[in-house]
Amino acid sequence: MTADWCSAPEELDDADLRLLLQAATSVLAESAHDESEAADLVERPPSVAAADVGVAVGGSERLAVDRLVDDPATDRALALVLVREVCAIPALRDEVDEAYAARKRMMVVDPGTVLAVSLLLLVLKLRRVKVGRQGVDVELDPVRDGGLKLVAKLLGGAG
Amino acid sequence: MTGPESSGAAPQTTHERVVGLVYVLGRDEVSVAVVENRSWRWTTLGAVQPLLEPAAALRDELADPMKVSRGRVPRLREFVTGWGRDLLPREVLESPPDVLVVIPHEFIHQLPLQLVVADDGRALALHSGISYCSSIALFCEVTRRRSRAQTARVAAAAGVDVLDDGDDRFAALAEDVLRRFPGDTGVAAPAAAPSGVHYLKQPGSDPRELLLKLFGSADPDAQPVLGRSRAKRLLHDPAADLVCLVAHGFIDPQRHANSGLLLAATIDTWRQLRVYDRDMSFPDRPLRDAPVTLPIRRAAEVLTLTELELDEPPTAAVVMLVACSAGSSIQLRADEPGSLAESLLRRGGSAVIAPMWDCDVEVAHAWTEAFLDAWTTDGRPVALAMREAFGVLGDGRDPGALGPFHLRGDWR
Repeated sequence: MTADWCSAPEELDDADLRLLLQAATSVLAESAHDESEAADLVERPPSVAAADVGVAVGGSERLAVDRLVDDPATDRALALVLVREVCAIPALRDEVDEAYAARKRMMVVDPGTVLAVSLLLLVLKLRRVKVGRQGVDVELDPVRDGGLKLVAKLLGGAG
Repeated sequence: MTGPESSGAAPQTTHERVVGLVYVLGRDEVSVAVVENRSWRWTTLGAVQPLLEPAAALRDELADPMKVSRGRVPRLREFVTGWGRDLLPREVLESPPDVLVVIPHEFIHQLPLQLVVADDGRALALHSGISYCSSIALFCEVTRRRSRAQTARVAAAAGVDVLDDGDDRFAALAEDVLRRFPGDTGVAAPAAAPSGVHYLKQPGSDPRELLLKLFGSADPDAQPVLGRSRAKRLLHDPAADLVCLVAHGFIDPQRHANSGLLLAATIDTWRQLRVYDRDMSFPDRPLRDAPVTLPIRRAAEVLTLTELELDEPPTAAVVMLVACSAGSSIQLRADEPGSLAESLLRRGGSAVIAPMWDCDVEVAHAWTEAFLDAWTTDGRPVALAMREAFGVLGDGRDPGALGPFHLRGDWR
């Protein structure tokens, strides 16, 4: 199975990209070994998540870190990196695709409040998840590395 | 607007067993009055305090579209098989009646009691036609409005999805609703509505020219999209027994009265009101702007709850709001649930069907078709037609599969 959004994620508009982040966050949170820890991470405000991510790349300069939350272009760039990394892991990609498709069928108005930095923090902290009905073990390090590399570049540029 | 082919059968005259449940939450205990055959019997169901936390958790879970869409609803499962059963009298769980009229109180307004499993392990919704009403006074009022049972039922429907600029799946659902009523009556009812308050006309001008230019048809009801004006005309269509509106519901967390349906923005309309014995015309403008934080992809307007309450009472016996969260409510003062469905009832509607939480469009489609098939058969009461529709969605052992639809108002 190949998810449509994997072929050209950059063509997704902001609303669909937000939905995809929401779907990925939901899948990871539910697939975590410690669901309560994951739930706690998901509920963390984006500014707190950004500060934690900033510390992880050794760049805690406040204004630079705030860009992860305040600048829509930065958020989108990070989201695209994370989505591409998710696409490279078939078990995770299929589960996220299923969640995304189910969410798209909902008759719901939702501005989408999940930022890419929140998903990155989840990836950073969880490291491994078991996804799908088969409980396939998925290592999240490639997603983490891709995200952190971009963040380091962004924060370096801002600093 | 269309009507059914089969209209020869007489209305159903079987005598249903109807039971009412009137809840009262005191400081410490939940009590319920079981009303049957004009007799009342009070039962204490349990303590209030242990219910507060799970009720809040269930409300949060059902408000999360991601969890609902993926069927990850463990709180709902706990409710329907566990503490939800404690909120129903034993006799109802042992032997569910044909019709259950529920008058909730406090946070019980927000609980989907229809999904609680009876003693046979299947949801109550498959045993009983269930109707909710926010108070006994309102229930008496809506049943007084009850119109004569019709066998030749007529429907009006329209839909719009302003969040999607591709194929409009909501309009398609509305068209499917009309197809369940295959006999075209050809009644141009909206234009002939007795209230006559809505018309596409700036005084002194001919609106047909503008309509023709914008939509390729001079008929206001042939507009390809569902806007505020059209929605209001449908709600006041005197010939329609059922009006179905398919759209996104929108909850304004800051000011609940500004919540409503997200509809397409169309041309300005005017409305006529009689003020001090003089006919006055007013531009019929939306009471609020469309929210800018939402990913709206078409020109949109909000038909607000306030606007519905200011407007003429809906005339159809049944209004279906196939709109996300149209039936979900917050608690207003004096134990009044605030929702679109409740507003329509309070404004003069008889029965409103709406989802209690966000809905999968495919589930909405399947449920709506099954409901209409049952409702157009033998003049069946709306609650019993809903019972049949739930049976189409599942065997009642998986509450998540039955969807979020519920009935408010008159069960018949």
